[in-house]
Amino acid sequence: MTTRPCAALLERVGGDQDIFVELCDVFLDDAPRRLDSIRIALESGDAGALRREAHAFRGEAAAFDAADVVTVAREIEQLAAAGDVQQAHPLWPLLEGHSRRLIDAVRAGRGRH
Amino acid sequence: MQILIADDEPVSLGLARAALTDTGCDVLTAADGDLAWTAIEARTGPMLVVLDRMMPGVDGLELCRRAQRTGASRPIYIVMVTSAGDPADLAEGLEAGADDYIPKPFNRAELRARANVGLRMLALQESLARRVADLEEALASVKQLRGLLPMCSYCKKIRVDDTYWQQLETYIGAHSDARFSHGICPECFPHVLDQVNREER
Repeated sequence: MTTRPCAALLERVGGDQDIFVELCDVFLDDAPRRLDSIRIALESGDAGALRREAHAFRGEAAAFDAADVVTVAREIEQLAAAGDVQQAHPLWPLLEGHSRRLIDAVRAGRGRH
Repeated sequence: MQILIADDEPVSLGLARAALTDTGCDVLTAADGDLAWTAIEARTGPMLVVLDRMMPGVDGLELCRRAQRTGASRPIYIVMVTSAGDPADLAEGLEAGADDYIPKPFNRAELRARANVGLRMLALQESLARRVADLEEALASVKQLRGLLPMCSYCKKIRVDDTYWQQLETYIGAHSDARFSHGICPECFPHVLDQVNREER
């Protein structure tokens, strides 16, 4: 994953550089916190929090067309909705890996604007 | 006109704000359902609400239902933000009272276009409400004569209440915009003339 996520967001905002940079900053600020919340909800077995946080993170990643993050976050969200937090545990390393790459790509793309 | 954007996810919230700031409306934001409901309740006048389906606190569906009840006295237009590829979300949102929907992730231009539809609807509703109020006010000032009038068979007075009888012309004058001029009809004229002559003698 390189600059593709940023191209997707830039298109979403109609090419407005200022808004693009503002939204990248919002994402870079929020995503690590959101990932922490997902991890904590997984560890504590809080299905409600896990569903809510995975849903919100999925929405953020979707703005960048990050299909890999969206897919895993949706699976976690659906398992949490079914109350099956244990089944969601193995998906965490996958979500974390995809998300780190997305965050790096957004940081790199934001730096160019 | 006011716009409220309710979303707990800051990227979508920022994107929506960017789409709607130059609409000329007062744009408010809320990061959860409780804050969104407080904002809806605290304000009067028409409001466009861009509402995330799933939020902490009062969720989007419940907010739609509450706003529908409020909407009886005040126009509120709701664009529900749903997750892409989830038709159940969409159906539930519309049934709960949303007027339109937009799936995440959305484009700035698309949300702006949908919001403009909503703002046109709100302006139309506001204009119709004003027209209805004007008509109701006009109707209230129109005097009407209708129903069954109890009338004396001999003197032709109208019974106003159990003890009070009113002259026919006084009654009609009070309940309509009719005014009276007075004369003597050809049928009555000979009798009146006869009476006057008798009195003069």
